[in-house]
Amino acid sequence: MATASFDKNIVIREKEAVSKLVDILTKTKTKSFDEQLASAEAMTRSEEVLRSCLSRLKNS
Amino acid sequence: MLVSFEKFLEIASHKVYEEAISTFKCENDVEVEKFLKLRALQFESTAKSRTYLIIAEEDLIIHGNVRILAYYTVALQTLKIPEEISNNQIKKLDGYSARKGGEKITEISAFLIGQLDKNDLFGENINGDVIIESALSILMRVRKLIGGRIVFVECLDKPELINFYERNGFKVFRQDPLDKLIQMVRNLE
Repeated sequence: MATASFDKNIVIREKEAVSKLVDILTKTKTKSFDEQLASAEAMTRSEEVLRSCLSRLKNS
Repeated sequence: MLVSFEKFLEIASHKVYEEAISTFKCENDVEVEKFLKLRALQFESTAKSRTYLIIAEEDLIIHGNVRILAYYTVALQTLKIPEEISNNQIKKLDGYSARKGGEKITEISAFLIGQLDKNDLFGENINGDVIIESALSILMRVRKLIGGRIVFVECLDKPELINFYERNGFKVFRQDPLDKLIQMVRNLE
């Protein structure tokens, strides 16, 4: 990965690249993923665990 | 367990934060390590991006140690396309129309996964596919709130990296002629 990706201008000048982009976004079957990994419930639970463990550590 | 960097900063003391961040090592991509240590905080406070930490839950509960297994950073990015391409192609990229305000659309918005890697010290405790699925899961929440469908990543021209992203639904569409980074996209549907 590249930190530069945040700051750079992504300029696609090549027509072949645009055609590939169109094909990928319109013709490729999307691979599914586990949408619950970052669900609001899962993250709230994680925050509670973190808060509770760090608080226990602070008071020990 | 997944915690946003924002929440982590709110909950953890400065000492815990420093210890956790200092034990994140990534020798095969030093930029990833540097970003977390030097830039993530500034990017977070300016809302330029959002970083998420995957923390070892068992170690935290049993030993009280905050071990960052992996992290990723997501942001918004724009893909600029040439004016000369057909209206049909623009419409397919935009998903709705080829024109906005009477003018041809020349920019397509995308979600960027700008950083993503695991910690060398605890790398065997997490699978890379879980990290990227977690990032996609965050982006799916954003999509449900405000829309958006394209996910964009850039990586070095290394077969193992390209295979990793391809395994997770991304396809190469271009190599940047300037920095030679491989550019890939996938739909978030």
